[in-house]
Amino acid sequence: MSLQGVYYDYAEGNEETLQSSRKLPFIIPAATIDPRRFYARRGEALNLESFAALRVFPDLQGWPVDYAPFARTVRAAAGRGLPVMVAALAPGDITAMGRALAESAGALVVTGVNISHTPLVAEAIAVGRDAPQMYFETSRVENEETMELLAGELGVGRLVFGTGLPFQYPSSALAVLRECGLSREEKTAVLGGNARRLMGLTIGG
Amino acid sequence: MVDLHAHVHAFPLPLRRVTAEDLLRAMDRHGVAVTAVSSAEAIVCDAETGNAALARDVARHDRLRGYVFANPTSVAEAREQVRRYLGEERFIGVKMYSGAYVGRPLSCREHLEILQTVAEEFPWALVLFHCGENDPANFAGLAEVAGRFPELSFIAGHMGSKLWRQALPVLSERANIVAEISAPVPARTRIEDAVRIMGPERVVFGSDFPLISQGYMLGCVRDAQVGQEEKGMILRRNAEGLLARVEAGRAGR
Repeated sequence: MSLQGVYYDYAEGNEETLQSSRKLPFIIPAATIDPRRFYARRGEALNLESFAALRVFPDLQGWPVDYAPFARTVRAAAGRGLPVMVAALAPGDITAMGRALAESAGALVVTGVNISHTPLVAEAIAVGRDAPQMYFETSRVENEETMELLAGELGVGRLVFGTGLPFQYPSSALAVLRECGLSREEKTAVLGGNARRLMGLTIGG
Repeated sequence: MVDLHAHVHAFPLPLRRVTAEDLLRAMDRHGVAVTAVSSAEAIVCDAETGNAALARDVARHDRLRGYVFANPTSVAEAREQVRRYLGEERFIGVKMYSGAYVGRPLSCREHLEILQTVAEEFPWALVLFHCGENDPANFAGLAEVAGRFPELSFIAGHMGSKLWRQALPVLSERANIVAEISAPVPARTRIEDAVRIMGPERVVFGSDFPLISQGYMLGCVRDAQVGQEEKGMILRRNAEGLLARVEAGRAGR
């Protein structure tokens, strides 16, 4: 996904993402919009048909997830069959995401779940148990026990692998998944199978 | 490898109570030879009980070193525990905290009184300070206090956490501070920035185990765009130098 779309103009950025994915087939295109702007521009088309997911960035754009434009974004993405990926930053965020998800028929992928910097794991489990369409990306899961806890409480099918690139060192996330007590099949699912199923993809090995 | 920042016992989080044996198994998995630990129980709940349990742990295992947690809410008790445990062979220093668990800054009168005791009686001791509050006052306070006690060696645990870019220049101004790299946000360039700003001889490896696994932090070092020489210093040699200084100081050399 284009960083231009995150920081400046999501229409231009989304077009850049699509062009890159056409040149490089291993790139799965994710669109982005900025909820602060999208709903202020009447008649703007989303043009999301060629994308596999929608990413939004409250952390980089400075809006809260307990925010009506975000809830409308989740509904709009659900109408197009796209999961929405969004970062949890503080206690209460996942709870608000659960409310937004309950108002839609869509799916959410929550990033940023960690236990040491911001204790979000208990909240992820509490909300996730009642929200089967809420998934959790694992790049900030910083120890094996927490990975096993999330898999045990929510089901391994609810975890999707991420690295956080270009903002994070990627080997950290891989090390925790590699060393945790999940089976080989479960790790394979987290590394790709769950995300493929969520995004309706048939590509890759 | 040497990990200068880990914990045993339990945090008020959905994690099991961690024993010394759990930590040793993790060390074996990752090739960590020595780990310096403090008691989570001492930090979050009961310093007396937690420090005593840690003393039993480190006495049983020669690959562990201990930090006695000094709780500023009771200076007399903290001083007594500092004297008791720094007198034991495998305790290398003091763990200090300024976050919600103690509710006061490192520069408060109580912390300074405890540090005065450490400086007068155990000047070889390391002071591992939780420098991870994402608050400029947190790392500025460490720099100020390190300036008051130039005879002590301070370890800036988490080196400012998310504020590392602001923290490192402040920490680097005090020659008796080293930066410990653990942080739950494995943000790229943290380690590169630490090496550039502190100098490679003043950056040390820590994990914050069990909150953060040693493998997670080793992944950060693996990916960091610094040389193998610098990685060797971070992972082992700088810490070995600090531990040698502790041993020499304790022996009166």
